[in-house]
This record gives sequence, C-alpha cells and structure tokens, in this order.
Amino acid sequence: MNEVLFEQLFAYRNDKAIVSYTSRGKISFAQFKHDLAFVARDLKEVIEKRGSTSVALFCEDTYEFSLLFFSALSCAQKVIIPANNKRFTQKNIDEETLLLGTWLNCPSFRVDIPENHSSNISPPKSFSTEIRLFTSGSSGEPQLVVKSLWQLLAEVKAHELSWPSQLTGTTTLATVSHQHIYGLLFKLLWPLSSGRPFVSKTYVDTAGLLNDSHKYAPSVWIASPAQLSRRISSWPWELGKSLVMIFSSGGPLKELDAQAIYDLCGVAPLEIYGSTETGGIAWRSQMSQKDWIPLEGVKIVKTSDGLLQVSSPWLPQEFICQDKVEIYEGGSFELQGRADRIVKLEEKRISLTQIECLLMRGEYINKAYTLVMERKRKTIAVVATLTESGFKILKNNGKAFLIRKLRESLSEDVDGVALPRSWRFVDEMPTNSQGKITRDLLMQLFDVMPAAMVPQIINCNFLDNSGKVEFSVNNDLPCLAGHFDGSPVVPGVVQLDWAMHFGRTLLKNNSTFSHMEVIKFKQLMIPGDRVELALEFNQEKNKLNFSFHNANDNGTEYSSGRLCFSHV
Amino acid sequence: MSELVDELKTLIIEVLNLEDITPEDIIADESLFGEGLGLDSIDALELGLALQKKYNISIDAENKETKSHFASVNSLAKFVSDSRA
Repeated sequence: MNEVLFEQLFAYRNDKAIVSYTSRGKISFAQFKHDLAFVARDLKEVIEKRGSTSVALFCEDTYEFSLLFFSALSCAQKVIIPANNKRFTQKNIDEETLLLGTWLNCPSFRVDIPENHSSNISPPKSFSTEIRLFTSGSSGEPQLVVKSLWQLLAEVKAHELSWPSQLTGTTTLATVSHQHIYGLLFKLLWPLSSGRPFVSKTYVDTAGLLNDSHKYAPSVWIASPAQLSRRISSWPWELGKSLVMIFSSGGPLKELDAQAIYDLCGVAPLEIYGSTETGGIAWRSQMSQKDWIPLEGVKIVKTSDGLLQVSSPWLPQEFICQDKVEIYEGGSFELQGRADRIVKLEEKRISLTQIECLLMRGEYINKAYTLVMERKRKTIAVVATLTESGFKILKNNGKAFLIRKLRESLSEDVDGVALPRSWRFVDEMPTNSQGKITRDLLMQLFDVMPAAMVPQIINCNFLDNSGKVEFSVNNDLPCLAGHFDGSPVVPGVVQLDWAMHFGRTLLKNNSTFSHMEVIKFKQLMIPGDRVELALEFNQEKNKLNFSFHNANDNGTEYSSGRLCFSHV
Repeated sequence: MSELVDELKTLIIEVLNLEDITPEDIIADESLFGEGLGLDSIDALELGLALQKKYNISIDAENKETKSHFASVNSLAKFVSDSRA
C-alpha cells in the first residue's frame, strides 16, 4: 500500500502554528510532533511485545485520537475504527486485536504523556496501514469497508480545491465524531492537511459551540441534521456570525432547517452527500439549488436499475449505491430513496431486516414486520404476531412490560435510535386480496391522528353517550398553512376529522364509517378562536351528532352534522 | 417535589411521543437512558430542549454534572427545582 510521508500529511507553516485547542490548552505544531513521537514510540514497543498486527481505536477526544491514529498508522498493519465502543462492537473484534483509547471493562493502550517528556525523539516519517471502517450492510451484519490513508487524503484534496479561500485561517469545531468517515475527514484530516487548527472536543450542545465559534473566530462548524434541526431561539445565535461555513452530512437536511440556520447565522449550510463505502459524492446548498452536484473528480451514472453508480479518485473501482437516482442535464441529480431495506434515522444507517431477524430470533415473537413512521421524528414501528410465551407475557404483565422486554433485548445489538417506538401485536398479519402484506395495510394499524394535527384541548368531559371538548385553535396547526395565505381558516374537512377523532371513544367496537348527513358549515373558524365541540352518539341508529360552537361569542355555530356508521 | 416528578413524567411521554407508556410506568429513580426506560441520544436532545423551553432554565451540556442530572426522573426534578430557585 502506498505510503504517505509526514510532510505530505501535515501542512502547518511553522512550529508555532496551532494544531488543536484541547483540555490541556493550545497545542502547537512543535508540541504535536513531540506528543506523536512519544505515543508512537510507546505503541510500537507494545505492539512488538504482543505481536499484534491489528489495533482497534475508540477515543472521544479528537486530539488524543489523532495521536493514537497516526501512531497506529506508522506501526500496526490494520487500524479498525468502530462507530462506537458498545458491547456488540467489542464482541466483534477478535482477541488478537490491541485496543487503543477508551474501552469499557477492558484493558487498553491509552495516551499517557508526562508533563516534560524528552524531546529528542522524532515523529514517524511515514504512514501506510490499512484503515477499516464499519457500516451496516443490507443484511444487517456490520460490513467492513477498507480504506487507505491515500484515498482519504484524495477526497480531502477535492474539498480543499472546491472551497479553498473561505477556509483560510479558520478553526474547525464539530458536533459530530471522528469515529465516522465524515468526522474523520472534515474534523481531523482536512484541518491537518491544510494547516488549520481544530477544537479537540466534540460539542454536544449547539449553544456551547456558538460561544466557542466566536472565541476562535473565524470558524467552521462540522454539523449534522440532528443538531441543525433542533434549535432554541434563546441560544446565542448572533455569535454564529463568526462562522464562515457550516457543513452538514450524514443525511438530508430539511429545506426549512437550512433556511432557519441561514436566517440565524447568516451562513447557508453546505450539505455533503456520501457514504462510508464511497466517501463524498456530491454537495448542495439548498438556499441556491435543491439538486446535488458531484464533487470535483466524481463521475456518476444511472444504472439500468435506476441506481446511482459512482467513480472517483478516492474509490479503487466503480461503486453502485443502493440509492435510486434521477440525473439531469448538466450533471446534477436528485435522490429518490433507497432500493434496499436500509433506512436512515438521525444519520444512523439502520437495517430493517436486521431488526426483524433479531426480533424473530427471540422467544416472544413469531413473525415481525418493521416500517418507518414519520411523526414528530422518524421512528421504527413493528407489527408482530406473538409466540405462546409472548402472548402469556402480554396477558399477564401488559403491553408496556412486553415492549420493554423486547426493547431491552434489542438494545444489546442495535443503536438506541433503531429501537422500535410503536408496536402492534396482532393475531394475524393483515393481507390484501392477493395475500400480500403491504406497507399501507400495516400503516393502518398505526392510523391515529398525530398529536400535532389536533388542536389544543382546554377542557374535555365525556359521559356514556355524549361528550364536550373545549379547545383553542392554535395558529401552528399544519392545516392552516396555505389555507389561505394571509387569512388562515380551519378547513371544513379538518373539522369533520376532529369530530371523528374526539368522537371515536363513544363509538361501538368495529364500527366503520359509512356516510354523512346534514353537514352544514355556517361560520369561519379562525386561529385564536375558542371552540366547544358537542358530541352525541345515538346507539340505536349508530350515528354520531356533532356541532362546533364558539365558546365565548354567544355560542355562534361554526358547523354541525351527523357521521353515520355501519357495524361489521 | 412529587408534583414536579409527575409533571416531568408527563412531559417525557408527551415530548418524546412515547406510546403505550403511562406516567405510572415510569419509575422515578430508574435510569432514563440505556437500560431502564431506554431513551436514546436524540431523546436527550429533545428532552433538553423541552426543559429549557418549559422551565426557562439553561442546561450546560458541556458540564460534566449535566449527565448525572439526566440520570432519572428524580434527579431531573431536583435539577429543575434547584435551577428555578
């Protein structure tokens, strides 16, 4: 494998240049070389003594990670970089492998530099070693991706050519970890190879990052949609003006979030699309265009199956992604979803097949189907049939208990984000007339109105056959947007939906809607109105009477009518 | 304090859209993340935001103690009531 020389990798102008801001203070390039020489010498000794050829590295602090990473690249044969240090990961690393950094309940080689260590040793002259990253394969088993340092640097160079002048003299701050390829490239390798400092810790909150972006101005934020989409207006956003660029990767950023960040910080987030297998593929800045533009040197083709095929200087051969694509004239493209059963939740790649397999392997579930549900956030939902012992638990201990058991057993093998949130246990899987289980059929089992679609309840009172619900029409209801611009009103069909939603508890079991009678809309319902909904259920006729009144204004009626049901 | 504990349980269920869980299902001194209720890192983010909005308190995620405040409903209640005082 090709070697990378020390001089080719680190581009700091002189020994005084700052490499990193760490908990130990500023680290100059001279200090970095000393530290690296020291750690590399120690590690080499340990590796020679143990006879290990491969190492696995997990470390939260990016500066310490860099010392261990480059030391390992100079003397080990394989460097494994796992996404986390969970038990499942640890189980998958063989015993011969030397652990570097922070590992739970396991001895490991750590950075331990004495205050005034002697400086007459020099850092490694070259780095080669194979880098091994993991990603979730379509089968659900972690899939190995082998990279060389050359490949990673080739990509960094392409980024450097695309946005060179903006970044000169900036400090890099990140809310993503270097244990993933995006962080490894953008938070660590790019700053090092263009001689820019980085902040060693990974920020967990945006407020802290904004404060420091000002302190180290001008600065760059290496972000992901998870943080960019969660904002509080009281955070010091005005300090975000010190940011020259904001990168986002790991998953698509919503246009609304891109706009909000631009309004708050004055910087339009620049999104990078890529994967562990392929590295970076394309970029976009949604404020100016929604399609993706291939990175410098990347060539894309649409395969006969409609999938995206990529070749680039940082890929040894062409790679076919499992993303469906439409390529436009001029070379930009649009992504149209995945072709396999891998989904991305909060930037984490999750295999639905793996979750189903794990559930069916356990003792409580016979057959399981998983699907992605988008409510407040995207989560995984499960429809399952139970085994006898699963059914027993459900009957004796309740649904909450059974779900907890199932989630606990899954949590040993999958990331927290992948743990299903919604569960439906059925006697039989619903099928269509062709005997197929479709996503639509399964979705119907979860078909309750999302909380955001229901108005704010002030008071509610139900008897056996009647009910009263008092609510206010809050102006953030999704039904008001665009209906109509400037003068929003609650659409009539939404009022019917609310009558159905609140009236559901009065209905007999297994009632299905058949038709409506005497529906009247008399007055516009507008945001800020305080409304009372009166419901009355006629058992004999199987009909639900409803009327919406203004709760303040002499009880003016907005609408009324009858929803009729048939019994099956 | 017990009022605040109940309030926080309801908040957790509402903010995180937890299905099939009632306030009684949440044990006040049981761990919220990992084992126990099994919340994830995104829940931590969402919960942090909701607390900051509802109680107008500031949460310093860089502070080492913050993690211990988020250990259970009880510790969270203590943190909220101390921060408001």
